[in-house]
Amino acid sequence: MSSFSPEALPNRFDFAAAQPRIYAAWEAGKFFHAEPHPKREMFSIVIPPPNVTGALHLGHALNNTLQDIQIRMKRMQGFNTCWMPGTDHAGIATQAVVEKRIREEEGKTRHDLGREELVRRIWQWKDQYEARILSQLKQMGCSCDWERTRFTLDEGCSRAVRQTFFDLFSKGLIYRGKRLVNWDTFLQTAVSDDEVFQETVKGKFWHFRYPVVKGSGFGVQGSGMETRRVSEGKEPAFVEIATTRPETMLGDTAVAVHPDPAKALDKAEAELRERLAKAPAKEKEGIEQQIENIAKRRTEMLPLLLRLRDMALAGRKVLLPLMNREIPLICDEWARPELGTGCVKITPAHDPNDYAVWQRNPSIGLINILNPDGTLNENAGIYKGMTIAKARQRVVDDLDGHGLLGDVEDRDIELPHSDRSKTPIEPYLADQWFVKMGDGERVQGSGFRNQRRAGGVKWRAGGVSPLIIRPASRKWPWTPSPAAG
Amino acid sequence: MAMDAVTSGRVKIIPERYAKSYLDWLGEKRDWPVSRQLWWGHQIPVWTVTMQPSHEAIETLRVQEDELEKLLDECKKSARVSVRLDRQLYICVRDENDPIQKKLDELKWIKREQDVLDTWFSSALWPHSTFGWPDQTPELDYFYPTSVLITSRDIITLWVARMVLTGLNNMGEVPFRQVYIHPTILDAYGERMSKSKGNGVDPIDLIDKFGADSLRYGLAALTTETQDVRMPVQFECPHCQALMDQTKKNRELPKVPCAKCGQEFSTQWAKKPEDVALPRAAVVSERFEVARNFMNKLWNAARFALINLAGEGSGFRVQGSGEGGQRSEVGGQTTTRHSPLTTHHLDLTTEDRWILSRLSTVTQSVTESLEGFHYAEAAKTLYDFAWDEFCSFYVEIAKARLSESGTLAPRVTGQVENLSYETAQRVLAHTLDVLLRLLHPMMPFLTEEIWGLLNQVAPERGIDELVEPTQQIIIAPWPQPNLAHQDQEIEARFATFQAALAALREIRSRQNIASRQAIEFSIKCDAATAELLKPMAPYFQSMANAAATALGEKAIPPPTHAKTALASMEIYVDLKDFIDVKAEIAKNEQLEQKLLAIIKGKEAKLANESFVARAPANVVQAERDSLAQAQEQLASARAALATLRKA
Repeated sequence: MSSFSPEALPNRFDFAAAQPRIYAAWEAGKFFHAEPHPKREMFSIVIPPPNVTGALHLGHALNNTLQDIQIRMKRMQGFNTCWMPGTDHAGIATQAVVEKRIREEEGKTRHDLGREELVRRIWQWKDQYEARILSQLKQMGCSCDWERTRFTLDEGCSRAVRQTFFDLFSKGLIYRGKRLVNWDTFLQTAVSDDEVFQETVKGKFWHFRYPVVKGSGFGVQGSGMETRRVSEGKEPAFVEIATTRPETMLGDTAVAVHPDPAKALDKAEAELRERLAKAPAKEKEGIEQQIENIAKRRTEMLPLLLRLRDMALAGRKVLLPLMNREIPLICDEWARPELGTGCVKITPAHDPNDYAVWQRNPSIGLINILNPDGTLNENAGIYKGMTIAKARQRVVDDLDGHGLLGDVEDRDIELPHSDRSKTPIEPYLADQWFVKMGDGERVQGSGFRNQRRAGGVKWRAGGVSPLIIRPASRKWPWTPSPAAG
Repeated sequence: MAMDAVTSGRVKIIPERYAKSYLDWLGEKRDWPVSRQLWWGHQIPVWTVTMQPSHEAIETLRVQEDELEKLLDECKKSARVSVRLDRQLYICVRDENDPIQKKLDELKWIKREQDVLDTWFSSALWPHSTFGWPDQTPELDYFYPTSVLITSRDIITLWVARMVLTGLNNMGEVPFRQVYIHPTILDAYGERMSKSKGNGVDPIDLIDKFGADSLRYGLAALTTETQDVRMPVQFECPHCQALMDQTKKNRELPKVPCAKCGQEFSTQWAKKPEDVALPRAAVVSERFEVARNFMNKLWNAARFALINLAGEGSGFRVQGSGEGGQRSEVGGQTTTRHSPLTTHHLDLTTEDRWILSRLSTVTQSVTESLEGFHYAEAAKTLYDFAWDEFCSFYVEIAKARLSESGTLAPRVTGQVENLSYETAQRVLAHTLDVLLRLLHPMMPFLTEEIWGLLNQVAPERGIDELVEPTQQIIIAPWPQPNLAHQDQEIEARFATFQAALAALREIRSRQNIASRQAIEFSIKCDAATAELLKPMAPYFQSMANAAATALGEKAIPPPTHAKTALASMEIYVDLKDFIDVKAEIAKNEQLEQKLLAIIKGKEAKLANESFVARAPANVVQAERDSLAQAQEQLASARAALATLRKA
């Protein structure tokens, strides 16, 4: 082409032909690359690294278009612009996708492959998808400084991670502890609150009866407790509780009643009356009904709850059916006299609220009944090895067989699900590493002792030096594990 | 400290309302669980000696005590190893290649932690790790803290806050000066887009269909200050290309019949062979069609400009395009020479001064919008200017100047025409040049393509001085608003003129008057508006083939006219040449008779006492209203007859 004739231009912009040609010319011109230049003012952006899980979606297109608009304007304004590109290894998201594919294509699990091989496979995946993502960004016209492309798991990022972890560890800001976590039984890992979504499912509310153990505790043996008895009437033979998760009863370690049920009912009523005063007309009827219900409870249920409270104070026990384990009646405000039977089963290792009850009443102990894969473990007795669903059915059937099953109500239940595997989340007790956020921002250097945020359990996260722990006798403070393995 | 960074303004969060979720989350100070029972990630660099071993293991451990002592002594000497007893004995090693790590790995009674770190741990370091930290690199020194972070609101706590925390801890400095939080795109039903719902729009599909510039412009135009933006989604029928709204129902079907052509197409859910065999409909949004139309409008305006700038004797040399592959450096050589024609000599017409004034105002406005992250505002300003003012107006007017006597070549008969021609070319080239630069960040490919072509036909551009442009627009300097060009009066004059012109065109189309037929019109308006419009007479002539007979407070409507009322003026187009007076009189007389008959009937009915007494009140009232209406119509028909008879 020696001379150019505008009349010969097509009447539509042939973008498909122009885009790759123009982009190649920009790259050849090195217009995207920036080097530090002390005399020029800089403008820099780091890309929010897209996950190497798959392809870019419209949200990425928006995010990157907006960045490129700033970068291009600033470049034209004369700034020395650097847009740092890269991708994120996206731990759980990527591993879940690759594991799923290997399962579908080869019928193998990660344990069949082993750690090294799985990681090798994911690196292969990463290479493929990283290339795809970067090419999509280029198709969009993004003017990133491609020579600098990074990956959150590359050598430099790995050094930065270890340096930071080491620094926080040395400052005593990293500790290890058991905590109830959101457990994904499918992927067999803890997931953060942000990786959990709630879904309403149809479920049931099962009522069970736990037999009261006769002659347990110190109250009936004529101790001082007896004289403080304020409740009247015949002692109940059973305590009734209700649950949406029958199988967790295998890990119950207590049944709780409210320490002052009369006051709790008064308080609930006062709150309802306050709401009634402010409520719009159409809601009033419902609230009035609840107030009536409380009045009814005061006459029909309160004596029993007072009686159970006294039994709890007297150290009485109930027999956990199916497991034939005696568990204490305890007083705790988590039990709500205005709801259900007024008594709650306590399963500290499988429910966050019950876990908090255990933190207030540590002597009841906690029993984990789950394996990491969501089947029941040896603590579940004859139910060992069953899935949660199967164990649930069996527990209900067996309690029915013993005549201990009460009403069964239909309920809509808000159930947490894992965002990655879309399976229900199990609250699960696991050892985890934590970064201290509380006073962490100010703590420098040596270790510290601090109250943990919730529950008031003393947590020692001390940077104790090996010099201090070394006893004079040169004997190490080994303590044999109660349940080794 | 991380909270202070935001409250003190060292990190500015835009829009400001998002600072709250950031501060609330940091205020909670919840410890961060960082371990994940995965294999893909940064394995935690901690080795553990259990302090609660089994009985058998204790025996082994007792034997190892001396070895452990020695190891710990070695650890103690190293600044890169940290040891802590916290129920268990933990040893943390900083460097991957530290010989101690190898030793620890070899000892059977010491176990390396199997868990990896939460993926957000490494992303929290991103702004400094990517520039070289923990090394003190020149990049880290120069580019950190970064200028701005652009992200979405769902990761303010997961990511943004943690980057500030680690930045302060590792660098002693915030990671960015500004954080811009952009909206989340939802579909027409307010739901997040996802492949699993079938409402996900693939950006690569959009690029294939509409071009990358349309995608980018469409997205920028969507970016308002709101929290979420709704984007209705359509199937594009693969048979007839019609767009069909996606509904919650049809987006879940494996195949859907097109609402227009009736033929079936498949969706992402097609599984059965007979469904898969159907052509697949792409999921698109008409938002990008608007953007594509804009892109084509710009292309055609540019094409017109290029054709007219390439004319001989234009003062612009036509350049060969053989050197397209060369490149120039950022801020590279641009030569400047003063035009033989100064602005004064350029003899700018009213429309030239107007477009230059608008160009300056728009340059200022777009720069401010983009610097403040008001993307939608910038997109709209550019769209309105490019489409309504530059393409539909300036280029239209310029057409007349550039093709006098029907040829594209300039007439060389007299100096005046020649000057006007060259001036028009100069202004046209300059306006296109600045518009392209303003559009470049949003539409990089289109603007780069046109820039290259413009460079060939107009290798030197400018108004006050001629400048040789950069070879590529990507490195062209950002336009500076020329404040001397801003003229509020001329902008007001054109705004009023544009409104009147639109009204005249609307009346033409309403009355079915062809554009080649000249029309006469009058405008009733205040004196100030009349002053603004008076100099525009030639433009009414050239752009609407319309001649003003009267402007001002005293303008009287012609006997037969069509009227449009605007906020500050009433516009009358004289219809005397476009209607048959006799026929109109006959038509109105007929109407008069018909109305008289209706009125008579209704009056009789309402005079009937038994009807008025027995019929329901609303029926009676309806009858009365309809009588009143007929009487009004009669009055109007008679008034029309009166004027028609005078004509």
